[in-house]
Amino acid sequence: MKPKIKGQNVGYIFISPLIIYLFSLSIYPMIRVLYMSFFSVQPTLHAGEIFIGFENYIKVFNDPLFYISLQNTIIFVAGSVFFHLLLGLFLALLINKLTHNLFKNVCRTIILIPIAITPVAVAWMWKMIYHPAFSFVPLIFNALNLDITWALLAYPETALTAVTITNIWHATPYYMLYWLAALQSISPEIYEASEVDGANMQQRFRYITLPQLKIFFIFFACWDIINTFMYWDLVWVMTRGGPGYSTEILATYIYKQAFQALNFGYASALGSVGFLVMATVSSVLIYMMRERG
Amino acid sequence: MRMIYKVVIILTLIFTILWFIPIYWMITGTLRPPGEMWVRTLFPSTLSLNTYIDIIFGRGKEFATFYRNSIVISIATTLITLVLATPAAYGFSRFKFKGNTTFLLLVLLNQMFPKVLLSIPYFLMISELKMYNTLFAVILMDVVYTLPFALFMMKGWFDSIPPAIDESALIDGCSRVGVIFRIMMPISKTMLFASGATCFLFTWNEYLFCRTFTSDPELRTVTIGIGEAIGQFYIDFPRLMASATLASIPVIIVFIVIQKYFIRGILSGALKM
Repeated sequence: MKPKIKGQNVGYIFISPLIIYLFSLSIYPMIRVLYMSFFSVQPTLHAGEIFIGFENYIKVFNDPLFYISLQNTIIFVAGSVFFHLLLGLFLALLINKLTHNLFKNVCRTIILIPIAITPVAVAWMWKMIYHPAFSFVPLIFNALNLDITWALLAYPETALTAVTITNIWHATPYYMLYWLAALQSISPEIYEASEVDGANMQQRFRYITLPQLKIFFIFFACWDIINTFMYWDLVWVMTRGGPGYSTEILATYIYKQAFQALNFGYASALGSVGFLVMATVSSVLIYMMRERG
Repeated sequence: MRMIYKVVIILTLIFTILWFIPIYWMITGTLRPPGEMWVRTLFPSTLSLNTYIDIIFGRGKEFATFYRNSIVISIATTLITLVLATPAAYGFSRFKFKGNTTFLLLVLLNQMFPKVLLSIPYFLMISELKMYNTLFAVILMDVVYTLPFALFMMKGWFDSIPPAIDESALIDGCSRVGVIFRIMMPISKTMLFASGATCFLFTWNEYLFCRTFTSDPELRTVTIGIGEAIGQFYIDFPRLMASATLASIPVIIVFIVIQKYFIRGILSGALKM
């Protein structure tokens, strides 16, 4: 407990501008989304908001596109989170092991470059990398005398993987940074003590590093899921959900329902269901963290 | 041991090269002389800055407009965020009022609200307030997403300053407002700058709100501007890559400046949860 100063209610004056702002522009709109999900809101029809009860939700659960987009979202999120965390940890461990400072800093800086590129620019860049005419990959195929068509975004079978790879390339460096910081938070005394006790490198990693990193693991996963689950920018720029519905994730589907079909009520219902799924997954993770941490 | 170290070096090299290839290819793509676009070689024959010169000075100077809009939005958002978040961070850090933790959790929860989802009521609110097609609408909504981050960064900083400093100033007859302006602000300069720069970065990268709340070509931001190099039936590849590079330059600069604080900010969030 920190010692606090008398007249604690003065605090309300300090926080009220921020709280009022967030209430009117975040809590209120969120409630409005929930409210709208029980109405038919179609601005083009000029019929106003008509109460239709659970009809939107019934429609959501009977909508094959909802299941397709949910499935794609889960694949996209699971693939991204898995590789962000594991590859990020792997890279952090590699960098941490290097003793040659110049080499270490050069490699670290190069791997970190993607962070400094605007996400939309990343999306365009990779759209071009997957493009048959502009990519450098056919160059490699030609050199190896391979006759493979390179157009990952053009085929429904590969498009989602291609988008996920882009997300992995872009965000893994962030997680490498986080892991590096997490690794440094383990106090060196524990390692020294284990060395005295005669633990070898594998044992030290297995019994000290991993358990210490567990809490970070869950936190990063949680953070990543929240950020990726409704990540709209990347998929929208790269494929707009196509070809067909192969990269249609919840975010793009909600956006299409809201701003292309102008079906605000239905989009709200879709979003509420999606938000609930996301909130459930991350609460379970936070609960696990509290239990074990 | 030597053997393991060699494997580590080789693996690091492989990953570094993997991460570097797309960037190399993007940068060289913009530096190739016109006409070399279809002849794919690993190295450009000569380096030329034509594409950049064309984007910046040619054709109606669109990119200047994009830059202006992005800068206006980012700076306004950053200022509003700091004005709202700094006193709140001080309040949360120094006073133990009823509901302190509840309000903090609420701000944390706010970070979970997906942008796509909130853009639906935002769109309606903006239409009701007759603010469609204004930069102000975009700024208002951007602040919602920078506020929590700035708040937690600043709160972490104020938490690290011992309250005894405030107390001694108060005893010496300084008012609460005086404490903030005469003591807290001067020692928080670096942190204010760091959280401001982070807000700037977030807002600069923002795409969804600009896309949804404006349709006027005059109000396009840099992130939307990148796609301008794409026509209906053609792709101006060097121009596209050069736009992407130009759009990223401010991000690169800001990131180099704040790297240290940025990581600390994220991790402080991690350790709080």
